[in-house]
Amino acid sequence: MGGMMKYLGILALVILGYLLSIVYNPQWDLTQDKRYTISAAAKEIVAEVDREMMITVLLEGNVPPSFRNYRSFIDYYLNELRRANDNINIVYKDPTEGSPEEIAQFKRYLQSYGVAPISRRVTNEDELSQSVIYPYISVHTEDRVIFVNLLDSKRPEQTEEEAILSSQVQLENKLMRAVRDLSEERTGLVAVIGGQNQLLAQGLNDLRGSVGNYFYFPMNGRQLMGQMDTVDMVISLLDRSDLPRESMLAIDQAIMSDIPVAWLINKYNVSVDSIARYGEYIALPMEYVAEDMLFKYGVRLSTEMLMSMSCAPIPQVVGQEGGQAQTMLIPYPYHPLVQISDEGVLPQSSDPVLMKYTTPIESIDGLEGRENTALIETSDYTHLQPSPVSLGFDFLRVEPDPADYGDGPQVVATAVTGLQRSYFANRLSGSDREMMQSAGKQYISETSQSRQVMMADADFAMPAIGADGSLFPIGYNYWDRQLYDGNQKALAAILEYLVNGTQLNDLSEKEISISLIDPIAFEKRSTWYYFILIGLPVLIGLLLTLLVKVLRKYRYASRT
Amino acid sequence: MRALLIKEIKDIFNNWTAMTIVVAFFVISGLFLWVFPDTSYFSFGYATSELFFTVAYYLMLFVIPVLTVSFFSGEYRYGTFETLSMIPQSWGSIVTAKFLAGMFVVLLIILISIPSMSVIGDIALSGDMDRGQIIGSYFGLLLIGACFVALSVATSTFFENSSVAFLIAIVIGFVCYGGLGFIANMRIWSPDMKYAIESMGWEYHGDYLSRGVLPLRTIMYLLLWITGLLTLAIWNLKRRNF
Repeated sequence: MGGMMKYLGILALVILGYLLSIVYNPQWDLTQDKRYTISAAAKEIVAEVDREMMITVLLEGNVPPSFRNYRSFIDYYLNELRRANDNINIVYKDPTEGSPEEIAQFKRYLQSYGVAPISRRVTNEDELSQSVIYPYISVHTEDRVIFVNLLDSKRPEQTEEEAILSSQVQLENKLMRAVRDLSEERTGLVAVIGGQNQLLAQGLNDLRGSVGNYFYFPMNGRQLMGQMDTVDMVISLLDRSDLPRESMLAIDQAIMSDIPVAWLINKYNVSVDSIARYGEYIALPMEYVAEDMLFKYGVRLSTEMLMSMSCAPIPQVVGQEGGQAQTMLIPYPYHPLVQISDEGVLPQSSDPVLMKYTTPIESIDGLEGRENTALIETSDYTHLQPSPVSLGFDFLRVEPDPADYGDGPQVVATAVTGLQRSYFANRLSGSDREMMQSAGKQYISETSQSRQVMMADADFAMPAIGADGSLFPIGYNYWDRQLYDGNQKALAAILEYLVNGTQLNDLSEKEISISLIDPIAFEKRSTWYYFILIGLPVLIGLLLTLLVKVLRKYRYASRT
Repeated sequence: MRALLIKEIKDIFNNWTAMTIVVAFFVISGLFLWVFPDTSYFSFGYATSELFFTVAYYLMLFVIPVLTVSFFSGEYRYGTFETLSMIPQSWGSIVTAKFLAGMFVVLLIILISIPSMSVIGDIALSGDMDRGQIIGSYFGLLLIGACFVALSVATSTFFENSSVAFLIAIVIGFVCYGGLGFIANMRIWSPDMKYAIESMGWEYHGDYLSRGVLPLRTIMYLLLWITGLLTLAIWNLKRRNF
């Protein structure tokens, strides 16, 4: 009876422990990189979900082996979200399953959101086949849906596994962005003002939520002044023309009203086409009146043009064959690939950001209570070319020498936050006052909570226009026909930082240190490894059994 | 109880069956993980221990019952149950001894598998693998292994025929381990119900552990199964002995 009672006692204790664990549920993540621990920022976002939210995993069906680890991580992560807030429900849907009509209908629905499948080769019982998968998750509430692309585009130097791993690092950030955006009651409004604002707004709206839950609206100064109370952010373009005075006033007053402002500035208006047209081109820097305003806010745009050894290529004719020009992609230092700086304001990302004909941004010390933080920098091998810049392609014939690129990393995007005084202090004209009065706005001369970002390139966010007039997505480089994901990500991170601070950006600091298998290393010592994996257990088994037999024999022999 | 435990371990290893089964465990897992292209580490691509433990859990579903299901059904069949009932030990001690003997097999599997972990570390591109994850995964293997042993011990108290006990142990083991996951994946459930059914399965909890994550709820849930099954075994033995 004692044994039974003891066990019943233990059982009661375990039941009590289990009930306590349901209430408190502590969890120990023993992995080195704590990759299975939801970050505090993500928990905060998930806790705020107060209505039903459905997360649908579309990465189903014949998933290639290289995706299985990621797929299992997604399962785990979504379960954790489900555990953290039961308003979140998880469903799985294979878009390739169902009747042909259902599949076609669902495919059309996905296409309307820009969701396209990818195909990979898989082996099934020694047969090679193509597997079509949708590496997406949709997050939807009753009235809205956001599709999250689970797979970042693969860079040329990456293997598929490496690309999947870097996508895994970004999962939390992307998913939380979608969850947070859907938790918000309304879609934000971003005023795009100056320069090619129509084109930029169209490019951003085409991304359908992947660069924040905003509607991008091209505006002029008067419109911005009139809608100041409803605008969440302003993007100001200085890319071909200067800003009219009323736009400058509206932006100034937006800053004074604590509305975040992103400045995208082209100091040089040059393109590969313009150089190709003339063979050699002397580029002169643009002089914008609005630069005076930027100076007041704490930054100055240098006139020196940046050249970087880390750069995107352009096609160049390298010879003739059979009467046909032979072209080759050659790295072009005036199209630098820049990186998020490690100041910790923007999330670290391995995806480079493509810029073109850019210049450094210098910070100006001035007001106490104002802070300048570097956001994006060029590589260590950077060269500054003084103005005026003579541009041509002849120098590409010579292999670049790292010694010529010794000016070190240069800041090309910076954040300016804190105390800010109005550029229009003591210089308000009658027409300025009239404009403000007609919008019902009072002039504000100072703020202590301003937030601005200045980027020394407007083209990095501008969609390229195809020959038929259609728009390529932001980040697409016409010259090497590559989509630079880093551009969209950097833009999304900057807008996120401007509106919400660093909450979501903190999520991306997680590093995942899973190593990949090196099949060649296995191949080199395969006999030895097979011995350890299969031969050694067999040997141990044999030896142990023999040992037991011998011991038994010895014991019985010694007894007789 | 110590004498009982030693006797049980000796019984397991007195013939070639036990070691053949343990060796088969490694040969089969070796084939799945390193030879068959669809399931191998080479197609998986990552130097983590997760894949090994996922395969190990499924193999344990078969290996543990083979070795342990005759613990009591063997006693019934050979007529030694009466002798067992007369020894000056409580049923609790007897069940614990048999359970620990089963756990000895699990420990042996764990020990023999350690060199294979070094191979994964060796061929990792970074030259190393996550030790914390491996420790967590082994703890998980111990717990899931304990569940299978407890299930086998409990099943063997109900049947005199070892083959029947074996089959029943495997069926129940399959339902408890992966079967609930299959049921949960049927399209008839609401998301809440699906989650509820899925989280009752051992596989759901084993997945956490094989990643190196130890949630207290998972540990307590599996301990609940282990103590529950062993209590059931004691209750059944006492009922039979009346």
